[in-house]
Amino acid sequence: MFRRQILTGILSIFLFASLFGQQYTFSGYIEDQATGEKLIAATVYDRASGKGTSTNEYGFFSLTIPSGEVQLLISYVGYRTHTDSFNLVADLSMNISLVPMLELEEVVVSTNRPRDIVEDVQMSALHIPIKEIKSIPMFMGEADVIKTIQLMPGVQSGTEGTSGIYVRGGGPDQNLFLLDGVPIYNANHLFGFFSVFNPDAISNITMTKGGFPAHYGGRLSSVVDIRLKEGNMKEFHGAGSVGLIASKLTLEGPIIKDKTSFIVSARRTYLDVLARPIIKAVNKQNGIEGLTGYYFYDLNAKINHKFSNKDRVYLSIYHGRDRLFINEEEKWIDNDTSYHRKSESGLFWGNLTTALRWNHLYGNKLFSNVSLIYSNYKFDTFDDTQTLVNGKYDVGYAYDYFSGIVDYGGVIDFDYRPAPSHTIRFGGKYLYHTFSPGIETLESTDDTLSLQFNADPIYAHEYYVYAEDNFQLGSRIRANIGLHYSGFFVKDEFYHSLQPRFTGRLLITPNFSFKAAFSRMDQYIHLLTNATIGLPTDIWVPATDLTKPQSSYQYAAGLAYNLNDSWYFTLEGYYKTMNNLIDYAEGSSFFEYGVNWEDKIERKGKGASYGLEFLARKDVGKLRGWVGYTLSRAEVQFENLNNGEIYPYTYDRRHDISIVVMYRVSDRTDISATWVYGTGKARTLAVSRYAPDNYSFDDGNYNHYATYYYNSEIEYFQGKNSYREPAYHRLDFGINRHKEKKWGTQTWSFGLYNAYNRQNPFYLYFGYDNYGNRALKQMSIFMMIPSISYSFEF
Amino acid sequence: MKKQNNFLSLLIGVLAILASSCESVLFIELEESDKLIVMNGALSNDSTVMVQVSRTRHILDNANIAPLEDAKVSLYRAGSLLEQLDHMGNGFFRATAFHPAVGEELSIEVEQAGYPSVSARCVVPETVGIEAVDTATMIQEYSEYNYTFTQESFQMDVSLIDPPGVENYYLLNLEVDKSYTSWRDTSYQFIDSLYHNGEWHYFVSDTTYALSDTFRYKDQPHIGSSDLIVESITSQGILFSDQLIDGKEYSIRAYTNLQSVRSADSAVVDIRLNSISESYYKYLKTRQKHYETKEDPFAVPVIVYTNVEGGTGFLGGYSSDVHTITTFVSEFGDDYWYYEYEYK
Repeated sequence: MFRRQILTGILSIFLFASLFGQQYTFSGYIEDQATGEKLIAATVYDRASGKGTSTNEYGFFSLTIPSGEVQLLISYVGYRTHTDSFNLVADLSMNISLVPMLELEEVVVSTNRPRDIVEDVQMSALHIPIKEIKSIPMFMGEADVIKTIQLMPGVQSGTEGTSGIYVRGGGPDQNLFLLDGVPIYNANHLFGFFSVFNPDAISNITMTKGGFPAHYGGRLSSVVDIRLKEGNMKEFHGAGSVGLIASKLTLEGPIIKDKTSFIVSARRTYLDVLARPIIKAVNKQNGIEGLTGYYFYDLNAKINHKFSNKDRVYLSIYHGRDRLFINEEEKWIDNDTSYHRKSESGLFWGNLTTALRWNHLYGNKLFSNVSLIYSNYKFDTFDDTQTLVNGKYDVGYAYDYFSGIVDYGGVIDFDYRPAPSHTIRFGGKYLYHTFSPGIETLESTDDTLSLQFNADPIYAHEYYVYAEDNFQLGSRIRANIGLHYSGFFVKDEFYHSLQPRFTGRLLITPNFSFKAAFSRMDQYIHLLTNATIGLPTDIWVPATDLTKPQSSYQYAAGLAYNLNDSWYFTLEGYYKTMNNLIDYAEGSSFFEYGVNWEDKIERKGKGASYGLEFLARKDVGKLRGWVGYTLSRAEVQFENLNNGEIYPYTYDRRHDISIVVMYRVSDRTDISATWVYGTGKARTLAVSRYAPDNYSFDDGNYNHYATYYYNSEIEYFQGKNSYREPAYHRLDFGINRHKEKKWGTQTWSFGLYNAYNRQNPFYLYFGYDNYGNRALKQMSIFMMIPSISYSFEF
Repeated sequence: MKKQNNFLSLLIGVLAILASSCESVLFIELEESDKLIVMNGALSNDSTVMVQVSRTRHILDNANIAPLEDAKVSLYRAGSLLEQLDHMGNGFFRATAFHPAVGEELSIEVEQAGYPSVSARCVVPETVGIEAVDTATMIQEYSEYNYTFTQESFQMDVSLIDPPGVENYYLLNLEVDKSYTSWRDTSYQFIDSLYHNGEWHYFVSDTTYALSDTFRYKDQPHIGSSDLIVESITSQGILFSDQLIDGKEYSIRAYTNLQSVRSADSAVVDIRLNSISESYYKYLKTRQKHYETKEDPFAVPVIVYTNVEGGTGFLGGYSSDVHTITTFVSEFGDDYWYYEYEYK
């Protein structure tokens, strides 16, 4: 039944498209003249016919127009507009290089041109220019992709300093991070204080939080599509930086000029190296030898080869890892017996992803992308202890907890452009998942003990197919209508769903448009998360026979207005329902060893979030920036949580404000500031205490023969997530000083994080004050932090 | 717990490295929450109605929580007032002599000036009988740190037939009545001690006992179980429902320490199968989980169930079937000295 519906849909699209096939086609790639890098979303416009199109995420365009004179105009922000005139008498394929503007003449740094925002059919999407990420104030001198996304309306940050994102009231698992099309399951370094995406290796970032086109699927709340650079086809170049906690280096260049290029980018922290002497000294004072440390690194590499104008192949690899280790040795003598204890414990987590991609042109209207992808995320914590007694090995024990997810898969996408008024996309994806949701092993060195819990991985097959048409109806209406059909096989269970997608735009005036969108999204994996800080202990688990897939319906409507091609304003409202959410059951936690994850969760949660988002943005001129405001509410209901009553979702935040200002003082200096404000997080916090049954008020003890709880008062909660932490707000400053050198450009970046030293909540707990009175205490980290970093490009 | 501590150390370690120069602790205000009446009571068909009434105390208030001794506590049946309960001390309010009948719905209202009034209702459920009891003495040896320990336990297989088609909730527990004769000199005082959670707790008796006095000692020993249907082990017994055994005959296995059901002379052991109301079951289950996790920063907080409208606490019902056995120690021996004694 569903197959027939899909087939009918695709055929209808093709039939519709064929009505427009009687003209010549001008097609090709748009690229950066200096580097050969493909330019995504560049505009190709023929003034003679009034027809235009834009490049796809691989830099490809195809424009079918009437024969005769063509007055070509190709533009892309940050590049000089390319103009050309020629007579189109046959199909023509041509690659066009755009010349980057010099810094001095640069007036626009963003891909978000006001006119495009108004005209684009897509709503609820954000394009994040890499230059912008490096312009705004940085945390500890490290530019961060996710922290920039957090400054957008509808996107909320997690705990102080962390890189998690919560989009339109959805959970952290409802965001799909794609790095060159490969899913990244944990986008955090350093417990979430940095994201895994190295800005030096990235060419383009698009975030979609609503009105999802049919080619996206698999998550309820957002898709963050990150494309790596392809490597300079013309010349060898490099860039790097040295910061307070990390350094990075990127090298790129041609292997065969205009044929094959590479890019390699690496980053590593050196907290472990810097802190080593201090930790050693402290350990020594305590009679312990050993080392404690933490580091992360990541590596991006990509090779790009052009076989012909019709065939290109790319191989990209990402590998990142965080490692925290505590190695200790302790020696002592007791009753003439010598003991020597050695222990190694720690944890590590990281992702390894690979994509092998082949782009092919069939004729000049049909573009295809075929990718083979691999993704491996693992988290491991271990604790090995061995003791020597009088020089002989005594029994030692090794504990290990492992969770992870491995994906193999393939993607095929077609981009068919039969006429300027139609862009048709169709394709599919298949993923073979292996979930290891919390495998525990405990072994002894003498083989007398060997225990394993939850040792069986869960295997699943996930696929989707889709078709969509982005088409123009008259001069004012444009729409993108599509269908996304997905399925998931797991444990003899088969889930599937047909997901309609729609976005439409009505151009009220050339500078003012109304947009509306509807999408259904289904998600076959869940994240079991028990803390609001970005702990890697969060476990990815699949939908199973017991735990159903999540699904959502999202409705959105909004206005976009362009003011003098300088400012643009958007106002969007949304309403999103969520079904089959999961959460830890009351009393459960990650640390319940030996308990299967399915035994510690609550299922069938229902949620709803709704809100209004406002964005005023200026990307032109010396003074740039934006103001974003979100008013929202997110609620959820589980049968066995909060006595079955509706309560604020963990990701509920009533008000969220971001103000970002960037000012270019001169060609050598730019300054920036950001201010953020957010309503405090919803928390479950005891407000009172009371007596249990049969309580003895005389001595405060439980008046029962067999008591095991001497301090047995009960804490009273007004409800789950009923307490609001204090509001979060912060002001950051940044200054970049650029200097041209013979060998390239150097930049000194100075930053001041949390300039007015706001003590924002990181963690709340009950304790006592200096007079022995009970007190609610707030742990704050990251008060005012200055930073400095040095970066260079050659 | 060790692993959890290790992980916490690791986490704290890295955060300390990262933020040691900028960490601060701030005391924050917590608004005064409404004072609420707390009513707790489990009504049984074989005892007089009694509830305990107290009040909530702000979480930051250092004062002890206190009973509401002047409260007006009213007992209703089918909307009609039966009587006002009298305060008996320690916040307990008791009816004159009223015993609820199985299956009838009762409600209790509590009023106290300065507090919102509260009410709750409950039904004493039908008794589910013990079909049979099979007991055994188990002696197990286990090794730890090169020492061999012997653990003696008293095992019970308690059979019941769950009524079909209705939701049933059970609490299985023991009451032990021990008696023995002291041979100690009258000049010494008796101190009972119990080792729990790494600490010794001492209970000093009020009386100095005479030589050859006969002691009676009532206890409700802790019982455990690894039976699949057991959902919670509380200080009041083991808790289970008929979710997996609806309408079936089932024998549940439980155990307790052998010494807790033995005495030098004899011990009368009541094995009590309590059929409890849903509200009592939910209260006990969530209360137990609450105790177990309230010190764990990584655990999701447990909100203890309440069916008290306008306040908190619970009103539940139960009816019991009791199977009594008597245990004897045939010969005076070391087994007798389970509890430690100190003498002054």
